[in-house]
Amino acid sequence: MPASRASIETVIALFAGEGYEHAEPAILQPADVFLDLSGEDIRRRIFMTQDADGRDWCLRPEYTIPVALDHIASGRAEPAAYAYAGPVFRMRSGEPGEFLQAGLESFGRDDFTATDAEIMALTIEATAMLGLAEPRIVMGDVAVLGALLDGLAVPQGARRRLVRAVVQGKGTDAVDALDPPAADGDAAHAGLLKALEGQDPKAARAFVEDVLSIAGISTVGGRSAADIAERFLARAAERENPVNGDVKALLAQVLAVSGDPDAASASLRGLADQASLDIGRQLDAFDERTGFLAARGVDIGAIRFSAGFARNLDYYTGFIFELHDTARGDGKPVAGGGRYDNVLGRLGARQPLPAVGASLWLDRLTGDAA
Amino acid sequence: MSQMPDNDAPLVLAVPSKGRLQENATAFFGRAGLKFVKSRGERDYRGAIAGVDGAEVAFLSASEIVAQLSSGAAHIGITGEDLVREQLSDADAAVEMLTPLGFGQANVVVAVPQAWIDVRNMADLDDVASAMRARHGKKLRVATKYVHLTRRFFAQHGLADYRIVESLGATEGAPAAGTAEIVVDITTTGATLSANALKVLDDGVMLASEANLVASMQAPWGARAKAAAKTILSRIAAEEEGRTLREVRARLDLAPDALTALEERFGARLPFGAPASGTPLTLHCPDKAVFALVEHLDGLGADDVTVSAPAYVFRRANRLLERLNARI
Repeated sequence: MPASRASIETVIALFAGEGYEHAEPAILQPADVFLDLSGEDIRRRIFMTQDADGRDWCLRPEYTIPVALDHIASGRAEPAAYAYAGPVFRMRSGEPGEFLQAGLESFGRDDFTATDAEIMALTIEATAMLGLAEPRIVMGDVAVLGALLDGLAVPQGARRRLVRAVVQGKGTDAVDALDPPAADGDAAHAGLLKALEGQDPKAARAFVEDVLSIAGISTVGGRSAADIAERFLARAAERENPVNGDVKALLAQVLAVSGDPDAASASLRGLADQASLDIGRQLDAFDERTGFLAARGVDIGAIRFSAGFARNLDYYTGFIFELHDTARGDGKPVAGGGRYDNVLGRLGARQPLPAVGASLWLDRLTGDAA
Repeated sequence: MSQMPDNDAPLVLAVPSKGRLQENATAFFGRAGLKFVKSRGERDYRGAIAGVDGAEVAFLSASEIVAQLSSGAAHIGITGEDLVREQLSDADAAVEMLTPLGFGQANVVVAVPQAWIDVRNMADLDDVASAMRARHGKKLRVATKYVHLTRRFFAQHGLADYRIVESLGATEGAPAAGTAEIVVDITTTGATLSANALKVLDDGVMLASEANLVASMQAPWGARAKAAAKTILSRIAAEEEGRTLREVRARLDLAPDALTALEERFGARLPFGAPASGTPLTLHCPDKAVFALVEHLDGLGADDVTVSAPAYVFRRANRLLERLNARI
């Protein structure tokens, strides 16, 4: 029996013992949802094909979306927990296109912190059973960062730029993204910006509509005059009131926080207090999760939390984690997961469904591809 | 090289089968003394080159030419760089661009509705795309046939919140039709884009394309194919050399160091060496420098300065052939 087959059975048995039922979604999946959720860039990594009607299909590049789609289609209202293991398909340079992944997903539970801890602890347990005794564990929490940005009332545009820079791994340098982008394009719009300054949205919109109609430009392309006016107004506002130095300094300090979860939580609390920000609810949940992890036997001291650690934020909404094998030289994780509360809603669930999950790269853990 | 070369296999030259590209390609090869002959009349899709042994001409559509170069079914082809870059994920490994041909110029550009007066560059577009996604949960839709080029270009600019809508014709109409917000399309003058109320972003030129002579790295380069390639590339290089050079002859006796100075100042060569006393001086210089050179020679006391344009200059050093031989 190849190591891969054995590893599938090991993992499924472990997860089944914890109440995770074995999910076996179809290999052939509608391609659209992956492109919508993961972005166009995934197109070069998935195996796509078309049916006779011209619809795009792909070989599943991962399990979470297929498992979630099946769950939504089943119409089950009660919380559900699934485990999976099998082949997934991605074009990867230097690695085979078909490889094994295992994982688990929990949908609909409202005891968030306990569920987070359960998923993470089981992932650590599974990798240990597959032979990785001492993984390097990294953890982040985008809910904490989000609460801070809410509390600091960082404007939407600046916020989007900051979050993207964080996801790109820029660490504390990410705060530079809070500054409005270089103004070279604005010179040509100086007159317009001046005319719009201080106007209310309605007047601004009417003004932009007039400008367009005087110029004889028809409005095509999915954005209304209101959208355009709003962006002008937001930019003018950003120029008048850029994110101030104190906020930037605070966020830089926040993004620099790292250490074991308890120490990190204390540092974050300290920083929030200094700035009189109330993120107690998020930090209480954070500590509760750490407590549940300890209760499940996870060595808290071995977890390295980093406030600047974030991944695909179209997807993750809360804590995220990755397990690394220090013997691997390529820096790629052997397992990873987190909370993604918005995904099922976007996939068509009738109401928003909280969700947590993790997946394991069996090929990287067992050293064989399929 | 993926296939064992058959030393007797002919060179396959893939040439566009229709349209302006075909006319230009035929004219280009014609100037180089390479005349395509179709043995069975105008509609034949295979031909030969008059007087060149070991070369077959395949008349194909421009995109099919890229596919055949990639698979190795054709050795050399004429096609637009846009198609090469779009159709081949690692173009530089699969083919060698031997030389641009000076026709078929067009730009692959990112164009947005003119009504987006707040969007002038890719950074603006990025901002608008992520706002659309955050506010309406909709991704910016990009209509294009250049799926790969678009993806690479957008990734370079860090733009991730978009969806490609594949479009195989009349791409510029997609925003008006409501099937996409913006387009990535090929344009020569931009007139079609303007007519559809679209404008090109300031930094939205993804690729300045033109027709190229492209060599396949996958094709079986046997002895016969190589010999034919040498013949063809020599003539093309000789024609290009002839077209861009002027031959200047004059009655003038000059010291050797004055001759070297001519090379430095005007890029003029002495193809036949320093003249013996009493014989005319012969120089080859770039056509752009010719009148400056003539005035300079006049100043040195030259007489009967005669300038002519050579039809062909065959030289042992051949840039095209060197590029090809370095890769196969």
